[in-house]
Amino acid sequence: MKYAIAFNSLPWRGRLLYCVSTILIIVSIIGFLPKERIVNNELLYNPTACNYYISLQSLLANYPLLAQDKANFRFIRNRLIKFENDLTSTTVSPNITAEYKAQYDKLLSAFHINSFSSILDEPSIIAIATAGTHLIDSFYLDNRIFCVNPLYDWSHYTHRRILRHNLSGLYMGISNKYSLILSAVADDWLMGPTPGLFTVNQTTVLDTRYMSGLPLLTALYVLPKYDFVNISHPGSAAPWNFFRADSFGDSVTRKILNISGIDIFTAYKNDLGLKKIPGVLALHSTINPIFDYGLITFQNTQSYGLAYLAEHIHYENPELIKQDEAIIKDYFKKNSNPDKFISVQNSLYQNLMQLQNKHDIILESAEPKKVLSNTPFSSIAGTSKIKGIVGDRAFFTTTCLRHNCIFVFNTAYAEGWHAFVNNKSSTISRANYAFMATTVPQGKATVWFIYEPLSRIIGDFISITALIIFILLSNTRRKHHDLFEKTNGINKI
Amino acid sequence: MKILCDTKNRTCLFNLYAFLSIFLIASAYGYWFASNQLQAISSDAILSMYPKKYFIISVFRCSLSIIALFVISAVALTSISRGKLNYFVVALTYTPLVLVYFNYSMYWIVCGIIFLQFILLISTFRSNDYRWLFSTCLVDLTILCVIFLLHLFITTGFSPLYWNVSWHTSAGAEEIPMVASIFKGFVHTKQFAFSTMDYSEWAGVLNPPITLNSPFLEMLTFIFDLPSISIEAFHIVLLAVDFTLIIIGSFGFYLFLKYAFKLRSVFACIGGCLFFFSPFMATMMTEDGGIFLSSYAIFPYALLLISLAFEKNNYSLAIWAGVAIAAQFFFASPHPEGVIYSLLFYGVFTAGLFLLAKHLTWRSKIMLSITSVFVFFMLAAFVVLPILVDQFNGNMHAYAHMKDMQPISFRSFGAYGILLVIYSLISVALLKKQHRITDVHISSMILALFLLLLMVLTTQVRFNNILINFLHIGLNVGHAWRIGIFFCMMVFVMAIISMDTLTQECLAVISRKFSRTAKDIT
Repeated sequence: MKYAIAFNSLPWRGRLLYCVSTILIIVSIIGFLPKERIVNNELLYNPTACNYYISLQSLLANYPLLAQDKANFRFIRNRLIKFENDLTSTTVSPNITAEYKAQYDKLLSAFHINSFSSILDEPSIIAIATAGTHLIDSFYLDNRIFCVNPLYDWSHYTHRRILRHNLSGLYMGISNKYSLILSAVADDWLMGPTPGLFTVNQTTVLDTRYMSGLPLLTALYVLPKYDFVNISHPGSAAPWNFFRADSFGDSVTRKILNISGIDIFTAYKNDLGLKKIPGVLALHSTINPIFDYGLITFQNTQSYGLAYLAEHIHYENPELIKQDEAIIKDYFKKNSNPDKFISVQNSLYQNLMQLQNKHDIILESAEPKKVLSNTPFSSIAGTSKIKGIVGDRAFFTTTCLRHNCIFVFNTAYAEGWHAFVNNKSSTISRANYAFMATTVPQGKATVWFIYEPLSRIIGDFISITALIIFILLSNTRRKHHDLFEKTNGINKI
Repeated sequence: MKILCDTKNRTCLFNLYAFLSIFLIASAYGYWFASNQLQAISSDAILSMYPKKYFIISVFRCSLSIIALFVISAVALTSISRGKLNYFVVALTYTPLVLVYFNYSMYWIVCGIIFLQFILLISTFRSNDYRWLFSTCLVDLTILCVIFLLHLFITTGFSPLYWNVSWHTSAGAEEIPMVASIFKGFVHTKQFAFSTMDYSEWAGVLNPPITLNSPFLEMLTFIFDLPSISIEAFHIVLLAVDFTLIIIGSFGFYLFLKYAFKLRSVFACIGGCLFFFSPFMATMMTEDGGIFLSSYAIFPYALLLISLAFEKNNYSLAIWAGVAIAAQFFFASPHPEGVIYSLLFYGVFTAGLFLLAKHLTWRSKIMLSITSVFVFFMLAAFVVLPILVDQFNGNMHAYAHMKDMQPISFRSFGAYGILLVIYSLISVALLKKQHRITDVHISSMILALFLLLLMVLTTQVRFNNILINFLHIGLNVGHAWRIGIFFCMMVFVMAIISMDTLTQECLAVISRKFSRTAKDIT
């Protein structure tokens, strides 16, 4: 009553303000609450989603890198217990259980055990993880099989949001970080801005976003960095997706994907069945799928992989490359000379098409003989092994059977990388226009690739030192009075 | 020793010993960290086969970080104890760090450090210190608790009560790129690699300006020893960061209203509670995940501190304002637009103070402004410098949005945005009537607000910037809600101020009415 009297006595502006405030507050709260809680129970709490299978395989795949980690160890144990409990639970639908059980049995036979619940002590879990490691080593590092949850029927979900969550689950569940996946999700143009929007249409670059290094060849620069590459439907209106599903069957595209080290192709089942996307059909006719559960997964056996020793080497003069680079840079910066750009890009593709066999490379070198002896005594270059890649450091071992070999770390060439062979600094050259290569000697060698640009060292040093100095400075200059004390009148203009 | 410090000067000696001690502790810890970093890559990775230079850089980087943490805690503890604690004893509390060599977990080591510091603080406190502490902080701490409880029960998306359903993903288009980079940081942390590099995002840019790195999240992961292979653990820690930012932001807004605008605690508290209830913020969280969260949450602190710096002509506060605005990179490196907008409006607000504050000399005003901006750039160097270098070297060619992006206008700003514009105009009119528009802070806020309005009204605002080399279109106002969150915040400020003043008028009216009624009765 009192406030009603007060309200009535307010000027009209005051009344209006109160009314609008009330509306704003109500709208704000209503608008905020339902939207902010974004929980996809379907994905996480459906045990057939990424819950166990992916997690379990993922953790086993990465166990060698996490072996010292007690928290991961506890997690593995709890997961194993839950894994088994859920299988015996009646709450899971029978169909799911049947398929799930099949996968479970596969795992048991792979690990040579009867059940997980019988091995809950630490040494046994280590044994299982070690078995898993071997399994994964052979599966993932050699064959580089991607673990997609085979129980998840992707074809059920057409809504873009669900699709994103699925892809998110897929992304999070990538069990081996050394694998690269090309994901074909045709017919969903709203998938646009997911990671992996970059590939190449052979003749037209419609759009691009961030580029690393010199964008000599869009696809080659971009693909190795992606776990997914989204492929749009040919009729898609999205300007982002210029790599199209029908390009799957194209020989140039496939070559580029092989060189880029794309190990896995995935595609919608519908794109093969109902929609009959030519690219996906072509893919299916040449490669047998590994998994076929809504999302079809193909293993690309022609992929160059993430690290390898080059077999046959074609040399290219850096000066010529620089000229091409200038044209491409110009195009990306000013959107000028599209015809020149297309012609350069096509000539680069033609050069790449000359590479006959897997692990043949084009090496940037003004003086080829200095880089590599031309008289190999072994028909194969040798072997290389990825020992570990964590963040900005990568460690490899090589066994070169020739006088010298070219080791390729199939990730984008960029300033700031440093290579060390047997603890000695080694020059990084560009392989296949976009990747990093260095010379390794005959016999066994250790190779480190470290990304540590000077700008980052200086930036870190400046920030931390400045923080220390400024805080000390502010403390010495601080006057010993209440900083929040009220001052009157001083704020007036 | 004599060269560095006069032996009779006890304070200087203690400081010297403090830095010597912390240097030794931090170096020992740094060596342990760098060794483990190597081992995490491969058990075959032995030090003799690893380039020494980069090993030393790792040790040095880790040691410096520990020293920075020491300095922050030392300054905080000496302030709370009102100078009774010296740096040396605070440095000694970091001794548990060497327990890593005895396989103690980081969690217990950090608990040990905090426990020792707490004991130290308690031991120096006398009854009058408690009285001082309560008289200074009681109201603010109570309101912090109120804000915490409010968000605990109401913001179900982030509240710890709901962390058991922790699959926090945005439904929006940029969900995966945003979350993926933080996820990689989360995984790398357990492998002793606090690396900002991301192989898989944004087309392989090694220092992408848009990557959400969160050193805070990585720190939590490292300390709490979270299982890096658990997807759920990742989402829980991500929610923990978001929730922390929400509390920090709300409380910061309360402090801003109370100490910059001198509002009463009740109204400042209402403002603090409403700070995050903005549909723009909700849209942002839905569409983009938390990419603006740290910019938005830290923003009120920067405004508060620069306001106080100008009010009291205090350089320390100007330094802290720079620290505050750079802190967004620590919590979660935001989207570049978040940095640009927050810097822009911070700049306009500071320019307002600069132009309108009459009680300071021009020299002081210039120095205060420059100090805060300089501190920001120095502290942000670890994020900004690699990006700038990549830009200048031509290693990164970028533009942020599509060429054919729809222009932002009132229409895309939405009905709520239009409502806010009307509301802000009414607030300005009311503030003018209440003669509060002459307040320096309010005028600066109105200046910033009108700049925002201008940006929204113009279909595409383009300006060249050095942070991001947008190739074709310059920087446009990418999405209405992105700019809307800052707009909404400023309207809230004015709304709360005018409501505070209105309530004063209301109370005056009520008292007049009652006194008249009482007079009539008598």
